[in-house]
Amino acid sequence: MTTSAHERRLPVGRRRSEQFTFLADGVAVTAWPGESITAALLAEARSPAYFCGMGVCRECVVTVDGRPGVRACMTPAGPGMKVDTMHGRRPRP
Amino acid sequence: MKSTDIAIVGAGPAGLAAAREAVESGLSVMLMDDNSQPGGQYFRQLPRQFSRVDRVRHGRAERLFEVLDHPRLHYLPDCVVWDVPEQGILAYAAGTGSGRVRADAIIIAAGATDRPLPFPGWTLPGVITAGGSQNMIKGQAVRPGDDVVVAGNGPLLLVAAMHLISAGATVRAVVEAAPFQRRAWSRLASLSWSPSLLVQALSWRLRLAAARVPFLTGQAVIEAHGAPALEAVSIAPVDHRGGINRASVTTLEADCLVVGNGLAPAVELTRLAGCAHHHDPMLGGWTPRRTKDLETTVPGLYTVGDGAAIGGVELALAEGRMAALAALLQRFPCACLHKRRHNLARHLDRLGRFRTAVADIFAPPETFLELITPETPVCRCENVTLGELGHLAADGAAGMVQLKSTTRLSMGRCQGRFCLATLADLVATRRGIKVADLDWPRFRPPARPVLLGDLLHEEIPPPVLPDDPHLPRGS
Repeated sequence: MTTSAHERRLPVGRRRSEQFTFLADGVAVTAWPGESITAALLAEARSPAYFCGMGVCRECVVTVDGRPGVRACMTPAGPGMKVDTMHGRRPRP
Repeated sequence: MKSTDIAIVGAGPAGLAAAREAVESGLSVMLMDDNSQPGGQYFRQLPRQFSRVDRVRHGRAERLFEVLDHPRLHYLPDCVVWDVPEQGILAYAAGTGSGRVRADAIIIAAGATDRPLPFPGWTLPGVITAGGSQNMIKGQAVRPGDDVVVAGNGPLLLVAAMHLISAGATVRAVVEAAPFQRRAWSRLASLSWSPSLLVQALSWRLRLAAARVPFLTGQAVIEAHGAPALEAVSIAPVDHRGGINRASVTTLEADCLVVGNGLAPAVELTRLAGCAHHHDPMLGGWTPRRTKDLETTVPGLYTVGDGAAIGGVELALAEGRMAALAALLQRFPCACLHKRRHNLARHLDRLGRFRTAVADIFAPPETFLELITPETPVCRCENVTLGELGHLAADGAAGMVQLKSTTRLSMGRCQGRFCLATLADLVATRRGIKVADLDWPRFRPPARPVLLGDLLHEEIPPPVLPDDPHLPRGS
């Protein structure tokens, strides 16, 4: 489990434009334009909540810049976005 | 309220095929889809911002997408159809563009979801569905894990494993619960109903063999271990009745476990519309009753593709065309259309036989309930364990509806999509009856969660309020 950044990003569908960062629970995460919030978190090996991958299970739901109920697996990350993964949830035991 | 000749829900293979058939015949179509890009799960696209050259597109998808530029087609992506308030009307949420549409015919092509089954550790981060693995690779070009075990039942496991290998993951094993190999060779003849699909299946199997991936049949993952995320999985033999041989356990290290036990059609909208359904495990569980024209018991409401009955992409494409053709025939009953319908029906028939053969080969053990320990959550969203359910069932509150309302099982974020089938199995087994004979909880709108704020944008005439707010309306 010592995956470094970029390693999980595949060479197909090469990302163009400049990478940017957004904040996930206050921690800066790198992403490329078009990448979903979940994909960026996964690529940086941060084990996000991810299960069905098609917006049905809603385990990935986060609050983005104050808007609740956002599906992280279907929503592109944006520069400077503030993502709160625990809003309205019981803390993990 | 908008109006259109045909309203189609879902821009996957079935929905797109239906849309093309309809617009090319002169009808107007409104096509609504939950995703921001067309293609559904099968033809899932990389983000638009990825470089064009590398957005390796399926030639078939490219041709299907041509319909989106047609002047008679109104395409609404990022749109959730959440109710069928009246016959011929759909309610949809699409941010500020939310509203309702009236259509002469409605074609529901809502697709399917994975059917994962509970076992100890299935809620750990790193345990994902086969569809989730596929979408992360196909739709985001990100590998969901490095050391992966693929487990469950059905042909999708082979596809998922193949994509993981292509994405550079090490697939430790594919764990298939059905005693696949013993069956496959004797069923070869029946598979020849669709030679191209047969060749594809064999090529997957060969590629797995070439990558030296162990294909373990008649086995199941009995536990996922790790903290805070997945580190290892335990595998044990499972017999055709679902009995697990816990004396013979193998443990593999993995940072990702991909699980899939086939797919289940998304029947929320046909349920809300009041269509009759029947239970057929081979088709994915509950499935709407349909005529040869794929019309449900509600006139003018058709349902096609995996959203109606699991059958794969070829069947979905053909069914989409069939429903559009049937709707067209309602308006223009001409002889040339009848001929086309006849040919399409024969094609559907052949594909249906192939589906039966595949389902036969991959027939799962009778039950997977032995995998669930008392501490295992059956409902992931509300964290309701088997122990809690068993305790209540022993007290006599044994029906699905009672168990739902006393435990909140199926009332969380996924709205029962990943637990109701398991609850049904549990209750039916305990009572010694068939799943089909159970009383299922009622489906209520919204079919999928939507933001209340979005619905405020609907163009609905304001209610007539009395001058005195204490008097009843209309007085």
